[in-house]
Amino acid sequence: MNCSKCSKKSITFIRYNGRYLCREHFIEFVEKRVKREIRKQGLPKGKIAVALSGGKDSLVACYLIWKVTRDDRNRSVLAITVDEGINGYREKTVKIARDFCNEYGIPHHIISFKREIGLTLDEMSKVRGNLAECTYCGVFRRYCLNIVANEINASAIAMGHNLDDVSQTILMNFVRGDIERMARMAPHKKIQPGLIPRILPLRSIPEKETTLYAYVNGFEISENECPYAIRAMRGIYRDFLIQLEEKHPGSRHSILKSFFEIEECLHNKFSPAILNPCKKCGQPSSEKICMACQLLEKIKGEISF
Amino acid sequence: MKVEVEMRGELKEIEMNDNFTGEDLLEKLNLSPDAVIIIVDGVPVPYKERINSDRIKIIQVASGG
Repeated sequence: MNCSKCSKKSITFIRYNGRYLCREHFIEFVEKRVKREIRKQGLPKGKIAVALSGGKDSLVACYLIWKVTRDDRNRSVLAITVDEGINGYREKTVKIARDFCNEYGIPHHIISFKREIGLTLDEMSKVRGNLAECTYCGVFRRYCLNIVANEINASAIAMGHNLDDVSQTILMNFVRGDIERMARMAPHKKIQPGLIPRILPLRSIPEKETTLYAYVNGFEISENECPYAIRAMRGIYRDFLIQLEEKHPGSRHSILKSFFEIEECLHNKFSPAILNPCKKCGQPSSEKICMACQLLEKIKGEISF
Repeated sequence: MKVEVEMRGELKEIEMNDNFTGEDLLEKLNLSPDAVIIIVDGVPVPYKERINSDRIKIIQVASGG
């Protein structure tokens, strides 16, 4: 089939709008929506830090932030990679991230759990108790990102979450009845002291399209799965949403749109948490001791037995 | 016809009818069109399209990490 916009050969069929697109028009289709998201969420002046795992979404987010700020005197881009210490998985994407930053001349900061927390995720896995690795990983990863972003004085952290990720999160919060958590989802409009606001430039792009965008731009796509993903609840929601989308194209967009409709009400009902420096590490937290320090305490307790 | 499919670095040989489409292939492999990209000779192809090759690469888009 030819492209619905020109006579070139198409490379994809977009199920939710019925269009065939060639390489150029597909790229345009992705970039237009990402630029719209960036405008909508706001890109503060200064240093934009991209959370770059080396997976395809983060590469695409980093490339697009680089591309839109390239001729901008008021904004620059840099990348932060968190090495959780997952043997046989993370080494490869850390290398992809490093090579990518070298190619585009993007300053790159790598921070590891081992150095910052004292243990790799593999080591935590042995003493994790009843919590899944993803719980530790999520908390410590945000902690590490915020530390580096503060150190380098970043004005925002761009994350690579795509439409599938975001619609999964919305659905998960509904199913768990955790509406307050939904009110606190990034992107953050109110700036909290010590907490670098996060933006999600790929929020409206389906995962298939972020992957295809990475492919047609020649980025290396790592297809390896995190060995701990098997214990993540997210997998259930991922499979369910893919099935739903197959039967009803556009479902993920509708979920995000529904979220936009209620977002303001959520923010009215749940005012932003009052944050104070954690008594142990000084990072902003809604509790006296932040979640990272609480988890660290738990792990240390397990080790000493 | 015999078709060789590469997925996550592994090769799989499957039997397809002549004039098969990407959709037929995904159905056979029990994959959703939103979860994969079909590559023929290094070029992505719409899943609705007829595939004129016996060597296909499938990229799974959900990496779970």
